[in-house]
Amino acid sequence: MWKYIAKRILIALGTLFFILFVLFILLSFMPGSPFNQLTLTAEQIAVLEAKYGLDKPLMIRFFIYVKNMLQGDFGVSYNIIADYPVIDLIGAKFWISAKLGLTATVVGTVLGLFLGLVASIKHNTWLDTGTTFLSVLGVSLPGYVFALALSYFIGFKMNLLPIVYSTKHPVSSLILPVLSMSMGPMAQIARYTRTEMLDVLGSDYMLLARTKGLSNRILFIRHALKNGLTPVITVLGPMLVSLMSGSMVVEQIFSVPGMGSLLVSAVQTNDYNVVLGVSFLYSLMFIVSMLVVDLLYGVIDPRISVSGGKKE
Amino acid sequence: MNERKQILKIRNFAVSFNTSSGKLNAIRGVNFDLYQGETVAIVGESGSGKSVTVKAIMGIMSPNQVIDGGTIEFTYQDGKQGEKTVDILKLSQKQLRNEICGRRIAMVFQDPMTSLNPTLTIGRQLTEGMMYHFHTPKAEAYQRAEELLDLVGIHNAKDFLKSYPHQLSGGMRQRVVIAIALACNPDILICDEPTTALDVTIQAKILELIQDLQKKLNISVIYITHDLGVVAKVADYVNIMYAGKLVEKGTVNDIFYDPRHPYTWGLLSSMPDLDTLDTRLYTIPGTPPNLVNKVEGDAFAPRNPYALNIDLRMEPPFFKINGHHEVASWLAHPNAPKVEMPAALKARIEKMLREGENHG
Amino acid sequence: MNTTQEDIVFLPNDFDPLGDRQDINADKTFADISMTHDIIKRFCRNKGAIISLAVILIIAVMSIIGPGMNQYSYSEMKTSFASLPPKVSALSGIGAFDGTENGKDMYALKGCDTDFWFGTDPLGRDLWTRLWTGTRVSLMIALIAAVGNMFIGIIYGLVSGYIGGKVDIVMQRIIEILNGIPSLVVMTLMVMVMRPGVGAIVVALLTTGWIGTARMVRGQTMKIREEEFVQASQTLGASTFRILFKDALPNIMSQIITMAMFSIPGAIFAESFLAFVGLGIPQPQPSLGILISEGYKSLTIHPHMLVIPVLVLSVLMLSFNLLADGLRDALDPKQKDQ
Repeated sequence: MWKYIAKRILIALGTLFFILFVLFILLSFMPGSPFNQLTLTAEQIAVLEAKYGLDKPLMIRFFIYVKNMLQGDFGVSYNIIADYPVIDLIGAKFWISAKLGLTATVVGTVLGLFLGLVASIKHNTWLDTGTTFLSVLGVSLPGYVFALALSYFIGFKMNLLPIVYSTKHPVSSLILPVLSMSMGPMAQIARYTRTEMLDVLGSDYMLLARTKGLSNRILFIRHALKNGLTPVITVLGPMLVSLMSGSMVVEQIFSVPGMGSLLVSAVQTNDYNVVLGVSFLYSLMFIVSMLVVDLLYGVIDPRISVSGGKKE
Repeated sequence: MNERKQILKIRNFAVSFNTSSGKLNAIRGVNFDLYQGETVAIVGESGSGKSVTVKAIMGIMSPNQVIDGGTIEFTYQDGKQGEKTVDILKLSQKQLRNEICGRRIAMVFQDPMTSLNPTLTIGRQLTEGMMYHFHTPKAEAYQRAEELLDLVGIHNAKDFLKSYPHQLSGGMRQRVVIAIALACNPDILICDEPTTALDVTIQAKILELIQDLQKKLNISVIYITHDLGVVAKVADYVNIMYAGKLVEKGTVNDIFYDPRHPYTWGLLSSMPDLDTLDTRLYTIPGTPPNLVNKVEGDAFAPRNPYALNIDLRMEPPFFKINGHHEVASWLAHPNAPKVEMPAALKARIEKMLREGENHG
Repeated sequence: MNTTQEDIVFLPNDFDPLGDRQDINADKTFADISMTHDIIKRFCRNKGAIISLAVILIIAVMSIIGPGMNQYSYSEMKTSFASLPPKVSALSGIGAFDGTENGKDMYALKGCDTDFWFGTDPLGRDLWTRLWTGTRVSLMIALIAAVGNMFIGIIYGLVSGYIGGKVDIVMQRIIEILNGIPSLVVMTLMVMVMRPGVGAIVVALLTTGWIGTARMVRGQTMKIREEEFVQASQTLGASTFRILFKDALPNIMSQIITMAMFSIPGAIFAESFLAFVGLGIPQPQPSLGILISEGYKSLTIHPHMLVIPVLVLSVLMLSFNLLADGLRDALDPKQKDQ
């Protein structure tokens, strides 16, 4: 078991190193320079580039970056707040994005599980049809469409909830962003849960369990639920990360000062170190969440042997 | 033959399904009897309605299934009230669950690879029935589970109880499924093609096991199968089913040595046999009728080379051949022309009889 | 069942054999239906998919003929007629498309005597023309990306799965690394590197979009490689290349097509996302994403600028999803929806 975990962590670390390398190379090909104010002369730019070490060869810069990174130093911002450490810049924004993403995941998961279970139990009734319709809508439409609709109707027309994030109303001003972000996960989970549960409910082992004469409650909780819900765990981790990285537009719409809007403004001002830092952080979360899901799944589902085998 | 005690009596049982193409009459009036300690096989092609019939005995129905009529009377010993007879079709889901399912009638399914819950241990799956029905304490239930596994040929099973289904082979799993079925001492064991999904070498062992257990525990067994080889090995009585109806019933000897229905002839002829010189494997021509359409006359007539005019307009009733052998075919009517079974089959039966004499 | 033998009145010829008067070998139960016919039949039974297909076709046709239906071009600015609400004179009775905003007739106020069916943007450009031109651009991007991803995925998957060994390991590592970066981040970086434009967006979509197809093709190829019919054609002397294309591909084509179908709404979304982040195609070219991010700026004052492109985008994405769903069910009824 521990050997397996160690192996998986090593692979993840290797992947992360390569990801960092790819991101670094990509950014070094960026056209233009972070120092693109018209007032700067060529010499001034050269001085600035020397100051930030941008004049050195690519590979050397990469190793300096990795070395610094391991000590928690992700470089400094060039433009957003000049010479401000990227790690602090991200740190301030990270928590609000994480809060938003986590809440949306939790809300979406709970609603999705509920809808999926209801649809599978009431298979082929209007409840099932309604849930299916809702989940098709949620899966098909991007989160920002819900964000726009909610902010226009509930926020602007009805004036029920704030449409702009403010630290004064940290809860009420996050309701609309969370709601619009949770629609996608809700739909995805509802759909997934429904299919898995229908599969389980129609399985031979459910039939055998029924012939034992057990009560419906035991049948459902002991036999169906665990088998039906375990696969749902696999989608949770990647979902959280894609939710956080995909929330850029929603964050913009509600003016939430999160990682998404940080990345957007860094992109628009060629602030390479910030772009690199945020992209790497997203990748880090992605890899970690997939690793956690993998290991968790191994613990929950006995069919997955710890030596890295797959489902039969 | 000593006094036989009837425990299951199905009369005029009819079932239909609501499908997108119309009402499908899957079971069209079935009479079926089961006596204590005996084994009855129901034989028929897939879709003939054998599974639907036995699943109804356990109250398992699909959502689009409708019971059109009939009774399923089940006689059992109730601890307090002595002997008791109930119509299973009239019981509520709850009564069925608490009184019948698992406790008095248990079932073994076709595919052991899928009929065990992958996330529960063998021990848990073996004991949950007893713990639910009899409130057996956990330790005692596990003790009993061990005994059950011993009974089905898995010895020293203490650690085995902690394993998960995926760690076992198909044959082992089927033993576990049988042990689960026996957990609450049922009166009737229904085996729905219990060996089809297993390797040939294991098939025989599982069949022997079931026969063995039946003798030891004096339970009644219903076999569902399309494999006449299995029937010859295990059954006392045989019911041949075609298109939702029984067409011939009798003892194993009746069916194998004196078959009367052309469909039974077809089934017997299509049994592969190493000894016969005829290299072509016989198949029954055509396909079973679509039961969405109303069946006029004898359902088998369109595939029957011996069909009579009356087969097209009137359904044949059962004709008694002797005390235990009945056939639903107009050929058994006294007015019918005398039709002999196919010569190849006749030769085969004669050969079997001779071999039987030599061995006996 | 209850008929006793005495009740029955027999006809004289009742017990004559039917003999050859019936064909016992006739198979009446199942009609002979070809596979293509079967697929079409299953697809047609799915009302949602049929409606979606119709909607997509209508939108596609509109994106071709729409821009030519009036005298304006997508880039022509008439600043005096800026931010006009939609007006279709023929529909003025129904309470919408009457050229009023908050009860005021903006056309009269600005002295405009021609109709702008979907209104104008803050620069006075005709939104009808811009909408359909933009839809065309978005659809083109999505289609090219879907087809491109399909090809890359097929080739990558076939090579990786068929050659196997070290090549496969390296190729799978590459996929893992690409897959480790959230796709929206990859796309953002790619567009930044290449400077925003239609080409850059397509290339960005092609960076990671093929991974799903490649994985599936690889898995299937590895499975099929072991199967008898492929080994049979190998012993008969078929070349590797031939086996790959003739034997392995047709088996998984239905899944590949379905996957490509599902990637179209994703590509439409990605384009709009990039536009929102400020990496959309350059002015004055419209796209659905550009229109939405422009319209968003005047959401509270002139909602029509946002509502119409968002509606078209939503309907398109929904229809493509439903169409892909229907296609999957029709092509492979065993496959479950996930």
